[in-house]
Amino acid sequence: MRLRTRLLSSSALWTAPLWLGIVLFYYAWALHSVTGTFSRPRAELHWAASVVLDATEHFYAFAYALAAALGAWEAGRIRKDGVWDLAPARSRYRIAAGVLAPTVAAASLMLVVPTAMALVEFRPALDPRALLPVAVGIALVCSFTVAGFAIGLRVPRAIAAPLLAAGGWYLVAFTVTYAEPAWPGNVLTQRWYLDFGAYLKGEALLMPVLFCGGIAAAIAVWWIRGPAPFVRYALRTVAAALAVLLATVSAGAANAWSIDPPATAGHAPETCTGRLPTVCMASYAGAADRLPQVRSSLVATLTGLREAGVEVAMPRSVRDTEGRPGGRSSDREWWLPLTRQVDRNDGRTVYVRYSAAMMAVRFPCRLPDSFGAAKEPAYIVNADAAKLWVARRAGVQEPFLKWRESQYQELENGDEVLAKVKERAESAERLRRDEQKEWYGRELAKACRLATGRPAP
Amino acid sequence: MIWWFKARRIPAVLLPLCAAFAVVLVLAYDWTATLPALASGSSTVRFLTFVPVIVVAALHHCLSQRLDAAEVLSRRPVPRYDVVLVLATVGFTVLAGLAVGALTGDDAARAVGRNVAFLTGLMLLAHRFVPQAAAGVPVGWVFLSVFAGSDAYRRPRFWSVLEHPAAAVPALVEALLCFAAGLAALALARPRTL
Amino acid sequence: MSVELDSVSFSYGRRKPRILDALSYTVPEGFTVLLGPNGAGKSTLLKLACGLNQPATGAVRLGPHTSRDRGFLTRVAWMPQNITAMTGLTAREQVAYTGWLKGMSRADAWDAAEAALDRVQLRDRAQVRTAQLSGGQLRRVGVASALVHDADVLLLDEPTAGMDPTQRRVFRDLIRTLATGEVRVLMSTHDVADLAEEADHVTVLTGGAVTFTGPTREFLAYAPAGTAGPRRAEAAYTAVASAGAVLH
Repeated sequence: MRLRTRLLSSSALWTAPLWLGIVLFYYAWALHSVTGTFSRPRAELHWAASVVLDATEHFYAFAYALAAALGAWEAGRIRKDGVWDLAPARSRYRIAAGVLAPTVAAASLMLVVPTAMALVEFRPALDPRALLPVAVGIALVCSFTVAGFAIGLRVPRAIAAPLLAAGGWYLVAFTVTYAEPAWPGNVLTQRWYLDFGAYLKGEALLMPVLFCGGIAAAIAVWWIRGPAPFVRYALRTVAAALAVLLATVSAGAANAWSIDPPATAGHAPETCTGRLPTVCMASYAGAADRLPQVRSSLVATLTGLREAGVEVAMPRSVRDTEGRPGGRSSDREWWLPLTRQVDRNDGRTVYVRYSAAMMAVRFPCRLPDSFGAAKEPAYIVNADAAKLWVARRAGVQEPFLKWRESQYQELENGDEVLAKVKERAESAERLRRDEQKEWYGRELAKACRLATGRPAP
Repeated sequence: MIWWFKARRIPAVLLPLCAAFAVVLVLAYDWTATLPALASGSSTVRFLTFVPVIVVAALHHCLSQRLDAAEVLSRRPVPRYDVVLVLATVGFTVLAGLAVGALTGDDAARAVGRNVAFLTGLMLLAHRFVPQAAAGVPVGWVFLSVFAGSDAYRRPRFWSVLEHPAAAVPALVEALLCFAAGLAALALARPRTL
Repeated sequence: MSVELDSVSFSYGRRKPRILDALSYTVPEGFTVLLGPNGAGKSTLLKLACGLNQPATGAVRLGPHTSRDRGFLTRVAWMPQNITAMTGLTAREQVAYTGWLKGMSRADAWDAAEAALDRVQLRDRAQVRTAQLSGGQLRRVGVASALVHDADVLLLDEPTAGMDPTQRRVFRDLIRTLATGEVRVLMSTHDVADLAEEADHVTVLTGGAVTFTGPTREFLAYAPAGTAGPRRAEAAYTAVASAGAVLH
């Protein structure tokens, strides 16, 4: 059949205003104006894999529902048109595939169109791995089409199509909110999300295909007309058993992920400059062009602090946590959210300097995580006075005080504590330079003593 | 009359699907999912919003089962029977919704009958003027209502009907008008050519 | 009383060409066969004659009734070219339903359905769902539906399509029986050879106009001399259809 004829006779064409409208309207309005997914500046908008998932996140359920509904409609159409009564020489699968091709195309376009629009809009560097989720989505579209077609062979299309559209959409979209068990949302691709620099692992992509594809294949095999009944029943039994096995295995694997499908991080390329320290930032997070500024700010801050008497060694490297979560700072290698801090200031580096200043404050003990966990909660006055003094040396007292003010809201006498901290730091600044250095060391030690109940080493 | 019943597939299709509607209404009236909405980042979507599709689809299918030529040339008032069928079906959903709403105190359940009436009206109008789209129009409206039927403060827009509380008079009026228009299209329509 | 088409014109849409244009025709007494090439307007004429469609101009009458009147509907029976198989009904139920739609009581319609199916030799399939009948059987259900109520005029659109020779023979005998009474039968067909010889009258429609209507013997006279047997009707039809002018 000619392509034009196939398209003109397909329900995919006359429903196009509806499904294309959903895509264009949702992409243009919701993702930009309402949810803010594409309107807030985020590092993920520079990472192709994240952009693709953000663009398609809400369309998977639509695509599957459309595939199932149109599959059922087409099944009813060719039954009504008497196609099966024409004693076709071609295989039924071939005929069905031809009839369903526009349906698969339409539902796939619900994923492809927003992907393309987002990639054109944000122009991240493209990696084929970023498009794998869309490929998996298209595989699931095929599965849902097969299921819808099978239902449409039995159920009147005026009933099957609307129920599959509405019920199918709701039940698929609903799985994203369902955490126990977690596998329905995972095998129906409803929980895909990626941070900057991450890719979904192979198993996160494979399990949905195994689950839905296995079931669809079993349905398709059920339709077979073998040479002998025995062969037919044998094939059907094997296919059904295989589908059950695949569904069980994939659901089991998907359930183990809980609500976070497995992903690997740290793929985002980074740009580095300098030595001692070597400073690296994520290349495509939109801030790498500020790298020289960032490095010079870091170096200037640490140098200034050393001159003021703070004992801090220049780290060998400073790495950006953007796209590389889980990095743990050590004396030689610091992990700082450089990209996010540069963004926040529209290019200014006050927060970079702030992070560096706070990293330079080294207590001779491990301070508790919360006020209440300390031996003497009053430790916080000494600890914060020391930090405030360092922040002032680095010229970043504003962000420090803003942070501490918000933390002190937990305390009954937060204002009083803040006043004391400021008073201690200010009075230290009236000392001579060498005395300030000694004062700083004593504050660190006192804080540790009060917090832990043991003298500082 | 029994043959008209069977011709319209009332015992085979409509009654079982109305029963299914009632069962789903009772079992799933409080199902919700937090799903993306257009006006706000996300909204709580009731499963009940989709449940009317069961009955509307069944009605559409049943009304499409016709002996066209014989019924056009009929001395019996077949269009009137069809109108009564639609009224009885919608009436059943209204009663079912009110009953479930009264038992559970759920306002959305009380509104189900109104929503069925509205969507049935849309279906009948589409069936008359754009028959090809009659199966899709009610579903399309449900989706439209879910995604764009409320503003950023979760207030339903005047046109959405489905998202309004049961006691909302404007929504009730809109639903009744749409239903009445649909019934008129059903009662008065006669194919110009066959 | 007969169905009379008085200067009727009809098209399937405002901007579509007229299928029939100011056509006047009266269904003759007895059994009339309606012949014509595909697209000549035979089905359109029949649909107007039974009241299924209304003419754009002119009128269709049966005595004092027009095709919009209820009195018209009960006196005219129609069998369409395509018979719908109602999924939920058996053959007898579908025929009875048609009778009931024509105003018969339930009991009468039920009994008449059985009798009608008997007449078309489909009694043994009366309890079978119409969706499970073969094409020819479904067509006989259509014929039975047209016979179920006592109409004055029977309008049949290709009733013998899909019937085997034996069934066609039974059908012709049935129509002959009906047409010898008060009932007028107008039937379109492509089985020129079989049926034209059985009919009392022949009407030929070409390009939306009646190019011949008259007794069968007059029709057959158009066959070239020496043509005999089954080929005679065919030859006559060819001659009439290609003449292009009104011959009656």
